[in-house]
Formats: sequence, structure tokens, C-alpha cells
Amino acid sequence: MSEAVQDHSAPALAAAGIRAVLGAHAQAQDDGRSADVVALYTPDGVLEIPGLPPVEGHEALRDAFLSWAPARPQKHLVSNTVVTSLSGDEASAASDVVFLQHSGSEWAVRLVARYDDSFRFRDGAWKIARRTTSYLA
Amino acid sequence: MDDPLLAARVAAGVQDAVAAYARALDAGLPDAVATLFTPDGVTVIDGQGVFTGRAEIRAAYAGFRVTRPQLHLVTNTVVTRWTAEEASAVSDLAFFRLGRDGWAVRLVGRYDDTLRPHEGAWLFHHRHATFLS
Repeated sequence: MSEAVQDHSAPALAAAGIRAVLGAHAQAQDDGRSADVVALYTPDGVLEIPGLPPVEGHEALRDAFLSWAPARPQKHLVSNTVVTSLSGDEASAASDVVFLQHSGSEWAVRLVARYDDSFRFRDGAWKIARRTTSYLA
Repeated sequence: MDDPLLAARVAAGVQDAVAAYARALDAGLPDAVATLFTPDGVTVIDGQGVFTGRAEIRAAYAGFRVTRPQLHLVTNTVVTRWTAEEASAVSDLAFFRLGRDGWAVRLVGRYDDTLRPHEGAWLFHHRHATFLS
């Protein structure tokens, strides 16, 4: 195992790197920065959302996030992240998310969900290889 | 920025400061809020003002009285730049308050922070709160 692999795969370092990706994803998505969202996925990254066919690869992800660009103020609050597995260049994490949207007069909770994410360490950073979104209720 | 151990230490220190600020604010403890800033720290709160130095910050937060249960939920923290002497971070926030009809989201926004190590902890050197809608 190389020193570099030891570094990024140490639990505390991996958790910090993964949390940074999750935060960056939420902020870029809520800002409507689709290219920045896509850059957080591996080239073959997959996004699964209930009721929709899987979105696979950067081009499809870019199109999807462009179509979901915020039409009104919104915020994904991602929390309770737990790194559930970590081995070398691969990791998994589960997070809870609350999606807030402004109706024009007030903020409301629109969705409560969970992200189950698989990550790969590529080019010096953790990238999302697969995100499975599950809605609560 | 290439030292992953330093990155993790900085991220942990930033997270500590971000969480401690929210808890002190919601507990109505302006002294505790002020000590989370460097002595020359600045807080900019959109719609409220610019407050410089611990005495001014303490006085400003003493004016934000907690009259009913409230919670600043701060998450999505991303450390965007760091050295051993200074770090920048961006966090999202939602402010919840208990009203007659239960808990409601009153504000949603973002913190743009610059922190520096001071006497063993990472403290805010500059904090700017902006709000959506």
C-alpha cells in the first residue's frame, strides 16, 4: 500500500474528504452549478432517484442537474453522515437529508430522505461512484 | 493544501467552531459567541450590521435575545482553502424557531467564514451570514 493510499484511506481522513464532497454537492446543486455537481462524480457515476431511471455518466448527470436547476430558493441540508465501509480506494457512506424550498412566502420542508453513497478515490479526491436516494414517507 | 493530515485537523477545528457558535447563539450566550472570534474578529450579518472585535460582537449578540426555543442547524461545511495559519469555509444554515403552530423554518442562508488558530483553537476571524429569499 502506498503512502498516498494510507493517507486518504485512514478513517478520519476519508471521513473528512467524504463530508467535504457531500457538502460541496449540496451547495453546488442549490446554487444551480451543474458542472460543479457533475465534477463530484466518477465519469461512470450513477445517480438513482425513486421513480426515475438511473442517471449514468457525466453527460447524463449534467443534463439531469441542468433540468433540476433551482427555480426558487432551496437548500439541501445533509447531516448524520456515517462512513459505513472503507477499503483502500473505495468507501460507502449513509447520510440523511432535508430538502427545504421557499414557496414565495415561507420556507417549507419538501422532502426528507437518505443518501446511500459509494465513493472511489480518484485523482487525489473522493468521487461519488453511485448515489442511491431513498425518500422517507 | 496537500497535507491530508493538516486538512483533517483544520476541518475538525472548523467544524468545532461552527457548531459551538450555533449552540452558544441558541443558548443566548453572547459572551460565549464572542470568544469564538479572534480578538480582532469581524462578523457581518446581512440586514443587521458589521461588528468588529469581541466587545462589539458581544454587545451585538446580547441584542439578539432568545425569547423562545430556537435552533441554528448548520451543515454542508466545506473547507475551501487552508494553511496552518488560516482557513476558509462555507456552510449552509437553517434557522428553526418554535411558534404557536410548532417548529417552523424562519431563515435559510449561508456562512462564509475565515478562521485562524488562536490559543489552541480555530476561531472566526471573519464570518459573513447571508440569507436566501
